[in-house]
Amino acid sequence: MNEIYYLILLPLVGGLLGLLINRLRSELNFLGFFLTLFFAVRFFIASRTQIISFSLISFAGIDFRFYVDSLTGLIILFNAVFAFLIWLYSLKAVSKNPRERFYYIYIALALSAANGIVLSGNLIFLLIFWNLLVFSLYGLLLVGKKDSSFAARKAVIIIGVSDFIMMLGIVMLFVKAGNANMPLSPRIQLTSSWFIASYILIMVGAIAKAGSMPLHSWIPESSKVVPASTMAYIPASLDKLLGIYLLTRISYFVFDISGSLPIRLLLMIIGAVTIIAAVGMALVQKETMRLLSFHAVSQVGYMVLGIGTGIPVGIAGGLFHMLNNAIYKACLFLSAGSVEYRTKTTKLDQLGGLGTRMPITLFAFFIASLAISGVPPLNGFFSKWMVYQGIIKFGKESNLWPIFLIAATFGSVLTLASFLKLVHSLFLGERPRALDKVREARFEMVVPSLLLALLCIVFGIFAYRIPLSNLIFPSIPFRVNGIGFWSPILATILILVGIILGLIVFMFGTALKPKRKQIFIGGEVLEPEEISITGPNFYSSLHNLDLLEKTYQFGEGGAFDFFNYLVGIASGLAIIFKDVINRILVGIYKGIGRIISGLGGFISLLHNGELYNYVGWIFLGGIIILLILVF
Amino acid sequence: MSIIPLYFTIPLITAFIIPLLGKISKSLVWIVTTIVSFALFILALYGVTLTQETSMIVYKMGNWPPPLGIVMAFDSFSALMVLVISIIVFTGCFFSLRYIAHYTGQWKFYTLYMLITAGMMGIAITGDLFNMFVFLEIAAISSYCLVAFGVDAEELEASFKYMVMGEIGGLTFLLAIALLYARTSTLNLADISNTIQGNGMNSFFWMILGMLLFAFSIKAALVPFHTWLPDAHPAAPAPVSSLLSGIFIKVLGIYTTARIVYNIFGLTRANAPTFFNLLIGLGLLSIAWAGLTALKQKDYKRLLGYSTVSQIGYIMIGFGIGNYYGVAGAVFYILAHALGKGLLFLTSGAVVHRAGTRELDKLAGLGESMSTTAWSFRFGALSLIGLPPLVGFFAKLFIVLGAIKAGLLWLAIIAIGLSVLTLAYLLKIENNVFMKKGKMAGLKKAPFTMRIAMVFLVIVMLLTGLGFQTLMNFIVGPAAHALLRGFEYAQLVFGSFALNF
Repeated sequence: MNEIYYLILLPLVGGLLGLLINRLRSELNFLGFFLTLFFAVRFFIASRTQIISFSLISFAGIDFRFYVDSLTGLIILFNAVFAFLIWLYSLKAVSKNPRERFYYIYIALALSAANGIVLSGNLIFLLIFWNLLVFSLYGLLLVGKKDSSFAARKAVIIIGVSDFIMMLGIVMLFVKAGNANMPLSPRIQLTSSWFIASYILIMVGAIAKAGSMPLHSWIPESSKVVPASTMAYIPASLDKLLGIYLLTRISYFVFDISGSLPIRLLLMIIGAVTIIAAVGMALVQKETMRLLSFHAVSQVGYMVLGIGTGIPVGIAGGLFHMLNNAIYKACLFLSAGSVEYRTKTTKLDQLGGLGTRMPITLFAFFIASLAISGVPPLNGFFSKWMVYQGIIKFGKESNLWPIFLIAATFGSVLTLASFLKLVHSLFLGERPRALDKVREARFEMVVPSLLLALLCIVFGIFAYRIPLSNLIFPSIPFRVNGIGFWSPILATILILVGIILGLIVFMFGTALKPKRKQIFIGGEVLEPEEISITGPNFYSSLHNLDLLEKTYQFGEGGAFDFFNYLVGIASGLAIIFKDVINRILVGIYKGIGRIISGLGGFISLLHNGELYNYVGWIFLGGIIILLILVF
Repeated sequence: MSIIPLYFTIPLITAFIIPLLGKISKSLVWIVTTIVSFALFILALYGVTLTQETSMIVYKMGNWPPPLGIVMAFDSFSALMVLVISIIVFTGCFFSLRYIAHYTGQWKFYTLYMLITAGMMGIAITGDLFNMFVFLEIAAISSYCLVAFGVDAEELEASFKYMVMGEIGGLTFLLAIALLYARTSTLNLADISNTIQGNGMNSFFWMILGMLLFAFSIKAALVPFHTWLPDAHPAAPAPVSSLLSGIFIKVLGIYTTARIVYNIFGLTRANAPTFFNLLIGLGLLSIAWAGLTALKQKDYKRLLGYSTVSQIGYIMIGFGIGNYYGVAGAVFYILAHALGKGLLFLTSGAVVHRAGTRELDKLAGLGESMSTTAWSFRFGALSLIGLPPLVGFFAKLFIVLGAIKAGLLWLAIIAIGLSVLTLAYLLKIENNVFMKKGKMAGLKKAPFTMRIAMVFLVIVMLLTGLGFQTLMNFIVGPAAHALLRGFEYAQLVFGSFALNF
């Protein structure tokens, strides 16, 4: 099956040739990405009907093999699509970066690595590509706006930790099960504690790749310093696809978690907490990229939640959400990147009123915002709906299901609220005078965002006919009966409640439209900017939140305060995550760094350059060796 | 006519011809040295093909049968060492042309360079213990001179320390040889092996082994015997640092230890668990201790020196694990580290040649102006860190596999965990020297011959990584088997002379 090699090698060859022959770079890169896309489509069609598995080499009980089924085909297809669109977008967007030459080789390398991850049919083989992806991520992050080396190092260290955890899990599996093939038959039931530990370790690696809490903190950190296309490519698309792919593979193809309720509950709790905590943090951000990146974390929660249910509808919903999220999140990052490209800023309080200037970008951004908030009939709604159904069906097994349902819907509400704020601050509202000359972004940048937005609509309206029955259902090892039980009333209520709540939160935060009023301040003339109302302070009251105060307000009654209270809880969670967990993580990171640095310093001091001292060490060592060996 | 003695006679003779040529022309010296080292490389490749057919090629000096005369015993492990030596010698020679240009007395440099080569080649192929000592001293004394080649105060001090500590090792080796001769009345390795097999290990032999391990640990620079290395290796000219760190300490310290432990004393993990655990302990101590120290270094080459000490620890762990995968991993690591660290020291040479300083704080922004050097550094560093598909990855993989197969899961985990240190200290150079923006941006590229040397090593590294399966089947695997056959070594050496008695 030569296509497997093409899929892995073509992007890399295109990228390398482009790096070497700088004059023909775009053409060669285009060939690389386009041919990969072409083969990915052919490969996707072929993978629908057959399962391919063949061994490359095999030694020491490790079977380095490729394995292809319809799930593989699906991920490969979307890897190639995203890489192609991002490449198109980057042509203009990254063109002024001094390290532009290397940007494309890393994009290509990441695609090769991602395809390799999906194609490999053995967890140890997969690790090779997994590490290659980390390497290309490091390279990509270094192609930054400002000095991004700190962010890159932080990302590599955090990912390195999670990869190490995962590697440990794989080794444990390998030691006990004798091989690490994927899929494994028969699947391993989670009965012995050894396998449970092994599963959890690999799972941590997978969801950390997808960007779940608490190993997410590199994403917002990087979002400040790297181009939007990088964010759209790795954390928003590829990482989601790969992380959730691996989670699905280990949960239902290597291990079998449907028999183990506690493990599934653990997954769902992680999912629910991630949704709420990350969206709470997104609410109070004042910078486009950071805000988007917290949503990139929050949405992972739905996927983990869906896959954790163990119910076919939920799993299909989780996978569908992975696809949808990659689409609309990439669209959001790219549109926001277009805005940044034209306005040179990402600070929300310096932006506004760009809707008439950049209508196509506005359209794409708006569609994607609605999709991410789960507004029907866009794609985000359908996948969330399937996750909800999974949770409701999960109710037969555990009484905790209402908590998860509330977390999921409430997360959706807050998402809507925060996107209303974002759309308002970017495109509506008052336009600062400095931005009067802004034009629509370049053609190459508009097309990818527009295509992705259209994809959101198509995947929403024809959800069942196109994506679900063609892409998602064939990929999972269960039969999904139709789209589960479709209860229009419940659906309508949930949706309406969601939208209304979102609007209420929105209205609670803002004081309606910007109104002009004459301000009397003793004859001085004020600049219009100083008195305009901008979006980012919508929820600033949450920033200095005090739970006691909220309780007090709750006591005073009224629906507004109730939601305020809920928002307060979310925000409180966010603060817990931000301040406590993040501080603990940073503390551990710094603490270990300091300990290691201190140890290094101490040992360096011991090397004082005195010969008699060194000779002393040598003889001491020799005496110890002799003592150990002779006695 | 056997080719085996050519490996050390050719460089030995060249070493004494060079002074004559040096009177005629400077460039002639370099040309002759390069041709000779390339010829050695070709011979080494031929040697590898020879060992595919016969597992042990024995050459009798002066046609005296063993144990009366000195023999050369050439098996797959020797073939691998000879190959690695010749690769590093060849690239170092290429690199030297411009690097040595500003020193006086260049022919002396090339003479010493050929002597050190002869010494290392001799150790790798000899089958006689005293002969091994002689070659070891040839190599060691040449290296003391090469470290001091710059004759600045710093270099002389480093060389002096190195010499004192190196000779403590050398003389302990000699003492052990004398004691062993007094007991066994033979100096032939195979014959000693037979005696040990007949007597079994007793406390006398354990003491000898302890002394030998002590001597070789000093040569291999394991913690706590490493203190000379971070002074000596940075002080030497870059091509020599590359040679010393890349292969010299492995031939003098690691090859000798492995050969004597496995083939002469016939130890396995099963019959001497304490000894193998001691090797693992030394290895772990080296990795952690030197890795931590490397983090705090402010000098490009000193950091690489500590990194060498740390990496040698992995090789020791591989030999300490003692099963097929562990030993194959260690052998692989010898190759991987020779290529990787050889390359890194060459990049340091290129940087020093252009920028004139080794201080990490002062160097900045060389990634743009010296892009070949920067990329060579990245490849070398990534291979050492263990990024697939570069060769360093497979080396680490085999060691980890070996640890798992031997039931030492904790060791596998610690070994992987400690490799984060490698990442950390190599990133420090990458960030400071190549990535950071700085005012050194306008430097010229490294000279052409230096770039050729670096690119050659990068290509070899990529080829060995991509063709690791071939490498495993033809070179590394047989080398590991050669070690693991234990006492059979003696039978193979004597077997070919059974008719002579």
